[in-house]
Amino acid sequence: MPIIARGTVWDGVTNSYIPNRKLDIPDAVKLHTSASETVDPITFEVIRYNLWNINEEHGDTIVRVSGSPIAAFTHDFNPSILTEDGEFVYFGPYLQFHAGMLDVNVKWTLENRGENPGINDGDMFMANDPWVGTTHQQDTAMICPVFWEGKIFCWVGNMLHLADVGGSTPGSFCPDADDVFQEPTPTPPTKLVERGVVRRDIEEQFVRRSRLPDLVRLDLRAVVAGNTVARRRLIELLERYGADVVKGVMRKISDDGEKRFLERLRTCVDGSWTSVNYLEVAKTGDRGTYKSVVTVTKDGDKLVFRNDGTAPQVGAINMTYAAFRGAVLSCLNAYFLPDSLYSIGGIARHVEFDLDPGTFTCASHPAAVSLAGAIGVHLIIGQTQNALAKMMMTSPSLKGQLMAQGGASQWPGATCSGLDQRGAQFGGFMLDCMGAGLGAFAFRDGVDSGGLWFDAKGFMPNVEHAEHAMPILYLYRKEIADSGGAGKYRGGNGGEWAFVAHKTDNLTHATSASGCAIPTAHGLSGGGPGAPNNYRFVRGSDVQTLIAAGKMPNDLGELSGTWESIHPKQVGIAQTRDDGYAIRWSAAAGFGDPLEREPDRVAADVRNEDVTRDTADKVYGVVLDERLAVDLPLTQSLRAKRVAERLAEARPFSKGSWMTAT
Amino acid sequence: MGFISGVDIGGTFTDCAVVDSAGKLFTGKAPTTPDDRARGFFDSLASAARAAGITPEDLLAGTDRLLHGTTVATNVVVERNGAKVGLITTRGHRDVILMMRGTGRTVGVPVEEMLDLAASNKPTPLIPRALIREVDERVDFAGDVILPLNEEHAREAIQSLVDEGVDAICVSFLWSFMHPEHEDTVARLVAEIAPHVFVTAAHRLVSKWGEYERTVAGAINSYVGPVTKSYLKSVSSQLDERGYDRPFLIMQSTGGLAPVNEAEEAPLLTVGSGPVGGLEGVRFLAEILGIPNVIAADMGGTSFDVGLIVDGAPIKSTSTSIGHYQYNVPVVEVQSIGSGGGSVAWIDEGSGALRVGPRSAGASPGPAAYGRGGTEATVTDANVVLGYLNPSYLLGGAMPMDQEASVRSIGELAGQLEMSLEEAASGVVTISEFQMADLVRRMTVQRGYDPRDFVMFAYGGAGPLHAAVIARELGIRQVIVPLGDAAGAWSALGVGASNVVRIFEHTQVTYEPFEPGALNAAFEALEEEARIDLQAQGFAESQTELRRSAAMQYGYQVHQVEVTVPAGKLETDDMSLLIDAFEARYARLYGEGSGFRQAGVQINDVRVEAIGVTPKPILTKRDTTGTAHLVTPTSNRDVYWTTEKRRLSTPVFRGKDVEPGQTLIGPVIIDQEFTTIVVHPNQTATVDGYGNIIIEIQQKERN
Repeated sequence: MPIIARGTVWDGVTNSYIPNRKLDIPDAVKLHTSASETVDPITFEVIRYNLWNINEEHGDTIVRVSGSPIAAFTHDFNPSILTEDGEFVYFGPYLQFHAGMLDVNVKWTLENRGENPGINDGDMFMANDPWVGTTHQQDTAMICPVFWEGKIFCWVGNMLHLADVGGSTPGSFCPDADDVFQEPTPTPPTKLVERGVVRRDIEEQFVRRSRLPDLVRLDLRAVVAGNTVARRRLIELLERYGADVVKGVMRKISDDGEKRFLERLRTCVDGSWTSVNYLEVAKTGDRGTYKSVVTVTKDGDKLVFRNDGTAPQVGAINMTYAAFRGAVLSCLNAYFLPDSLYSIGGIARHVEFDLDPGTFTCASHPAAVSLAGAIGVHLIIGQTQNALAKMMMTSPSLKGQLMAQGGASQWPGATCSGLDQRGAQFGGFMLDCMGAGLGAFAFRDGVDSGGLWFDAKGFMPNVEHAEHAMPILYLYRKEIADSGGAGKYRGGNGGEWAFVAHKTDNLTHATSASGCAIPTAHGLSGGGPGAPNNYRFVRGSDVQTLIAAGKMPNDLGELSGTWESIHPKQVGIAQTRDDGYAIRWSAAAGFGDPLEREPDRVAADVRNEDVTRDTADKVYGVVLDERLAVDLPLTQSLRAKRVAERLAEARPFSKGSWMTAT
Repeated sequence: MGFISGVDIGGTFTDCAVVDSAGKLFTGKAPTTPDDRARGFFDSLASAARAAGITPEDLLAGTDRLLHGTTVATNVVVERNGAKVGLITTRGHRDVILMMRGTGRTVGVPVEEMLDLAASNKPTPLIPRALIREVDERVDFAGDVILPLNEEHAREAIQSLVDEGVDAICVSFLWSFMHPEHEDTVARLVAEIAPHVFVTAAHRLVSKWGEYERTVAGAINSYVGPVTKSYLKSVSSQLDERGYDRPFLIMQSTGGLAPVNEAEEAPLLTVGSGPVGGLEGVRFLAEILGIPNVIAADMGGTSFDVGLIVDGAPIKSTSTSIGHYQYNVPVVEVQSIGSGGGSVAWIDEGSGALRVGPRSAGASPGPAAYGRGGTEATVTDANVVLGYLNPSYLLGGAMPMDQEASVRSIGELAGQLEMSLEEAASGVVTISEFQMADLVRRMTVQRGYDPRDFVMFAYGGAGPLHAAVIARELGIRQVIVPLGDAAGAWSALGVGASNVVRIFEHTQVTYEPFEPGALNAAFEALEEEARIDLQAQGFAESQTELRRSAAMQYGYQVHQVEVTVPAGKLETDDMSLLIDAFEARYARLYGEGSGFRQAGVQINDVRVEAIGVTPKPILTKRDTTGTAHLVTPTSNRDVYWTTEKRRLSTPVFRGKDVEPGQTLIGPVIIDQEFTTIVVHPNQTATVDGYGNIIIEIQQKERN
């Protein structure tokens, strides 16, 4: 039975599937539910370690067999082990927001596939339906029941981003879509493997949609292989230790996670905390801005997330419940259980969602959702971080764990295509912003170019690899001083890369982003925001003349030419060797009042060119001498003056008027 | 006299292995002297001389080849006490080494810790931004000069770094491996302007793409350069004073030796060379024993290190890291987990589960048994409680252990766990063994190998204690504990048995259909370089081997596979054979049908491994035919066996008492001076003609 709340049926048809705590499973499906209550601590540890390693081998297998840069470099996948009724036991150290996906797919399958076509030993189900449980259609789930003595003992499964599953645009991110019918067709859980054999008809039907059918077929083989390995090793474990013992360990892993989560959660006070953010530009040509609200309410041992106040679904920037939940769970995991080997099941027991359907962060069918993996998820991760951080500040023991939002809080998407330097057709996806910074903590600075925290194994390409793969010549790639949010603790700086077309007559770009006009990484406790994304383009410039004269520009701003403004969801931007193009990825946010930053840290930042002298003065109120050492008396008086100025400008707060108070 | 002498400096001891022209082996040992490691170097030589019954002077005078493994450079990076380094790089790219490709928090961090954001950070920069200078110069992917080097800028940059007081300068430009002239020019200018400054041109270390990893290689080389060079110079000059004028070669992480003058310029290649000596020793012995596939398991006090030998050659990794910095030098791959004798056993409060490691009690205070004030239970303490370790025979009795303290520490755990002392101790050991088995499993399975096709060699103080269980878990049928004469100086023997190896490689991305002409030209150029190099070191043609290979991949997929390329002139027909060989190897490593053939095949790097074959030690083999017999133990001790769940009176042998040809039926313990060998019930140990102990594992029994 689907959840029916406030008149909405959450059944995965028009609105997302939200399972009831008690699943409605047909009698045909037999679950193995018995579990040893007492497993000795040594057997527990050995089996626990084994389960974790089985999941790691599952991930290794996907990387090995797939070999795609998506699996091996950006790690846009995640393997899992789940209980018989679809609760997470272990989740992998790869892309974190897949955390909210596989359990709902398993539960949906148990409720809806148990009788027709049936769930049997050796079966696997494939799914990429955002209203059942995926970020966007590219992220395809493959779930596999593990049987023991005729009953479903547990599930193994994975989710992998496939390079192309159809839709209006190569790569299946469709920034110009009005609805899902212009995007890849979602597939609800469908039996791809039947009693150990891949169903050719189903495979062909799925692969047929892709511009890269052979590649998708290979990736499907990789995820099937991952499940096969994990299932085999799990059965070995059952044969050795007995099903009830292993099940006892699984229950205890989640129970332990739950216990630990609650102990930590209980150190926070009850209350509600809200984070508001705005996205700009819903699709190609649009000029609107759209409000997103995330509210977390702690009520005893329960966390409820709401999005009321969020704008209606619109254009191509929408996401579904599963993506929202995945974003939230990935933050909770990092903030509350970083020491528990990615065991998310215990947390999920205490998290509820009360989302407004038809909003762009919980869209109803048939909204366009294919950008959710790059736009919506990043947005909700950031807002969740913010709302949770405010809650965690009420806990002395958790305060050290919170982090202000990181860089690339909206992904500055940049794709290009045309003819490469060897005259062959190419398509490229620029990943320089994988180096985005970490936000500030409540006790220390963030990390300049620290890497996307929720994709810890990912990395940015070398310039040499990019120049080999694409017909471009980098002018520079550098960190940007002052871009990280100011604060008592500074956010990690972002960066910029700039390039011209090189040895090609045919190079065209497209963009896909938000967070250009409005900073999306908000500071905490008075910390400043991270600088936004920025696309700069100068046509017909003097860049080649400068280079010929022996001078490489240090910044795009040194070039003369016709400056063009680039729309955050623009297609068809042609570039020649005379056209300079620079893309800046948004920086991370700061924590605390910049006027409270230790002056020596500001001086060190200035000496290291992370902060400019001007900002040291204007934002931090720190006066430096000619040797860039702190002048303490002048600094103290300047800071006192700044505080006085602030007080003079201050207005009493009255509800509803704050937006206009200046 | 014709000695080959190997000296290996470890953390505690400096070992020396000397082989005379008849193949007889003498070993020596002296404490490592961190204040001046050269002293320990010569002490260990003197100790080996004593063993051979000659004077140290005679030993040196009779040595044909002196071979040396050192951890000086590794220590400099780990302890972060290296040189003040300046970097000169391409305008627009000074942040390459600071941005670290966004991996600065996570490289080398176990996945278990990656999610703890508040605990993660980048390392202090090897080179701060204030010591980085950009100069105008630019080369593109094809090696075409887009912007010529501005020598005047370069001179100014050098001078300003010298004014800052740098000890070393690294020069690293974009695409320098396609056009080395710019880096070479700047390196020459450094030598001209500041001859006292240690200079590194990055392309000379790594002639492959990836500017971040290449710059890191150059930066680390510069960072360790001055200290390593002065150490090696100090040893060299003392050798000079003592009249030694024959080759002095240094062990490298690439798995071979290099002449000392090369090591002084490229000390990077000695970083991480520590475990390589031991692995080379395994390779040498495995070759003699005719064993092609080996899992080499080395367990000491703080870590468990695993290397693989496949078809007689150590598995290499194209990339390695130290202190969160990654660089692309082909190194003999050794993977570690923090699981050693000193690993601390603790109870996880959240779950009540028993955990072991990764924290180690280290050498000080060490396990409770060491009696140095440690009270936490460690794996070593569990081994004492179970009776695996003889508390009065550590280091041959030189370091008595406090059995009571072990019992106390494990007893405390047992109390909290509400189980018996033995159950708790056996739990600690079992968990630790399972962790080790999992590392070995991942190392093999990840690469497409089946651990059952391997023999395990177990060494290091704690390796032979646990190897039999690890092997049983993985279906490995045989464990060899390399012993006999070589046991005491295993790494030094490995160093002594190594060849001179140098790898010449170059990134040259080409796509199908391959042009034999271009490949021939590339290989011939590398081989020419290699021949000149080996000739200069005095290797005759007959002592020289050149092995060609190519790093290949499918167009879309990222896995790069090294494929052997035949010697001689390549013809058009060879091109399809090359692709066939690549496809077969890819399928072997990544699974049948996992290659994306439709995307085409490309060659990324071409590589020539130049090997100068050195004379090898000859190990004496005792004839064991007809000598197989059972021996009587020297004593008995009560040992708790996990499979039996009880203590059994177990025969114990002293290492020196077991003779080639003897067979021991488990359960049995063999106490050696530097290690203890545990043979479980239903296992059999035999001693071969070299004195190695070979344990046969019955694969049916499991606990």
